[in-house]
Amino acid sequence: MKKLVIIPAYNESGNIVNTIRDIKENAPEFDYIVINDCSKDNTEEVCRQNGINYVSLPVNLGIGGAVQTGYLYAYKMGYDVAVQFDGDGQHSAKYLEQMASMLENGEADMVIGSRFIAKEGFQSSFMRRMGIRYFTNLIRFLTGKKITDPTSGMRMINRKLISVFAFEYPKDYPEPESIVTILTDKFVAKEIPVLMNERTEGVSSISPKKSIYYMIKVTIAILIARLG
Amino acid sequence: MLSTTTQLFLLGACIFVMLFITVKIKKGRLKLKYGLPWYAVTFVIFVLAAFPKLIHKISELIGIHDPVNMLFLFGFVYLMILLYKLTASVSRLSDKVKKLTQEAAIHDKCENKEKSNE
Repeated sequence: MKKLVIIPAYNESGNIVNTIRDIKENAPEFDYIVINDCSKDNTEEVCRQNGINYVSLPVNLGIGGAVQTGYLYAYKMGYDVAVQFDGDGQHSAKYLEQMASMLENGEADMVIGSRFIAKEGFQSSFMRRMGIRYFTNLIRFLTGKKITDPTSGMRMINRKLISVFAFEYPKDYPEPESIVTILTDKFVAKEIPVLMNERTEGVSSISPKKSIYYMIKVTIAILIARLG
Repeated sequence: MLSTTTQLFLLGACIFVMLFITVKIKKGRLKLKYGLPWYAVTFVIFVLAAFPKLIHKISELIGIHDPVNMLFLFGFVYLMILLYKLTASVSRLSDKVKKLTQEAAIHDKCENKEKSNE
């Protein structure tokens, strides 16, 4: 089993070294690749100096385009499993082996690390939780499946989905939409409880001003995805 | 009814726009493909300005009382179609740019790897 951790990074020079160390220590069976999404800070320099495996996008593509680059890389390099893992210190690599074993024994095509099963660790702000719950309900209404953390950026997929996402993946705000797409196509998504940390540096890609736009856009994207 | 001055002004403006678009295409600043809709709309305005009675005929024909309203309606619909085509081609372009960016980044990576292996 070839397993790859995809770390999308936009202006993450302060976190990236720790993220890589976490993966090397706690998920040694995984290869990793940092997708530097045309960062304005010295993320690329930090990667080069520390011997970190990375690719640099010549223009900024946003989170979806960056992660998709990782899936395309995984597809070309023949990886069996690929996991999206944020470069901002929110995720812990200790869950990766467990997530991979669920894909290896075939019980799921996608495994999502959820903050809201054990309800421990960093739980995000109240407003964000409300937004996430709205998407959980919308997805349950449309697909009949309960996904407690549809916006989680910690998602692992098998080879079948790698070869789907490498060529078809939403450009921005991809998480909830791509879940609905795969559920509609009869793939299986499962969640495991994880603890997440509050980001130590950097800012979320979704500012309060953008959140209304985010809600509307993702809602429409989900409805269209459900059409199949 | 159009006054002769207005008529002349419109005809002149049409010729100016035609020349402007042609020069831009010649210089490579505008693709002929995207210049064609401009030629078309200028041509139509040119014909209507030259034969203003046509406007009344057409608006009578389709039952719009005020010819001005008909012109606005046609202009609006035409612009909507143009805008739709524009957004569609921007969408296609952004997909292509995304694909190119990803392939270029991965290609660079593989090339560097080969170099360091040598």
